[in-house]
Amino acid sequence: MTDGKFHFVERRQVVYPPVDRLNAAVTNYSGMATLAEIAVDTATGKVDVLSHHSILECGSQVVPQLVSGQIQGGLAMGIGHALLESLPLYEDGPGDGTWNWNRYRLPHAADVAVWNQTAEILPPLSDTDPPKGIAEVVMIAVVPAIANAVTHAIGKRFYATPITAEQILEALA
Amino acid sequence: MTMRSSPLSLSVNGKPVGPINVPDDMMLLDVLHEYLGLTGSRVSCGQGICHACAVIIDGPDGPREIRSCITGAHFFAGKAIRTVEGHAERDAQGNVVRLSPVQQAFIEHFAFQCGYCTPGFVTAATVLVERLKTSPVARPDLEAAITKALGQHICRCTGYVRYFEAVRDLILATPGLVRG
Repeated sequence: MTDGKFHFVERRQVVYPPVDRLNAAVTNYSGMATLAEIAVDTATGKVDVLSHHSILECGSQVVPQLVSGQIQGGLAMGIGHALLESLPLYEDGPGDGTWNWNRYRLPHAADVAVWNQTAEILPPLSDTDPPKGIAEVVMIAVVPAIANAVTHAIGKRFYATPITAEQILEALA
Repeated sequence: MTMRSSPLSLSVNGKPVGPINVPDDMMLLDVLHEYLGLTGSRVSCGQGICHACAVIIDGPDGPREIRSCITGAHFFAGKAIRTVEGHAERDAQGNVVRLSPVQQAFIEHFAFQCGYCTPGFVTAATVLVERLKTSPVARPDLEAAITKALGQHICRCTGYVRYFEAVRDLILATPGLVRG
């Protein structure tokens, strides 16, 4: 089947990536830094993520489109952990089997600054710089970035995530 | 216990289906999966929240998206729907010969990762593109229109950016969808 620029190639053999790269994923860490711009509505306690910018170092990229897609997806998940996603312990928690997306709020597009986010990827250190695993690395930095931004905005610090509207209203009361 | 069933006829992807005997309280998604073998529409929450199950209903007011996991199959009696299986062009043998513009845009933009939510996004984006053919959007309002059309669909992998950029680029590249 040929479709546009894409041509389906029947698989003839499977080639694994060089094994020395497997170590690169665990011994050479990727690093990502994230800046977040937010607004806090002090009447409702709601936090809006207005924009964010990230800087990633991941060695040589194999498929740049997938690297950027991974960054965007990890950021959305991190924003969820910072502001939305809660799994309370004990009897009424998700262990009771009745939880679904109605109670476990995942980020929607409007929550993640979908049109107002940027990222830059630092060039590899050399031509032989191996590709390094990024996976969940990309979702880490946005969580403290948002938490610190909330503190910068309202002068109160929070020690548990997600930082909910209720927590913010309580802190401002 | 017996479930009451009634005959159901509708149009699916341009072809008449039925009458088939379908339980009175069965949702459309289950009929697509279990009776028609159309498994492309996805079940996730089963509560109408995630929109992975969305299909197109072609009514007198044009196409719109409807959630098949919370809409009873018999609601669709005599109506016309399109599932994700009906978007691409196919030859007489049923093989895909050309993807729809939305599907092609999603592939070229690396818009999806695991792909579970993709049928719902294809549905929503196709409805938006088709509605813009009859009522174009002003250029400054395009991003907001995309967010409104796709914004309730949940995706856990992508962070939405490449889906949204794919739809924006497709709309901007298609004559007649944007004014101003």
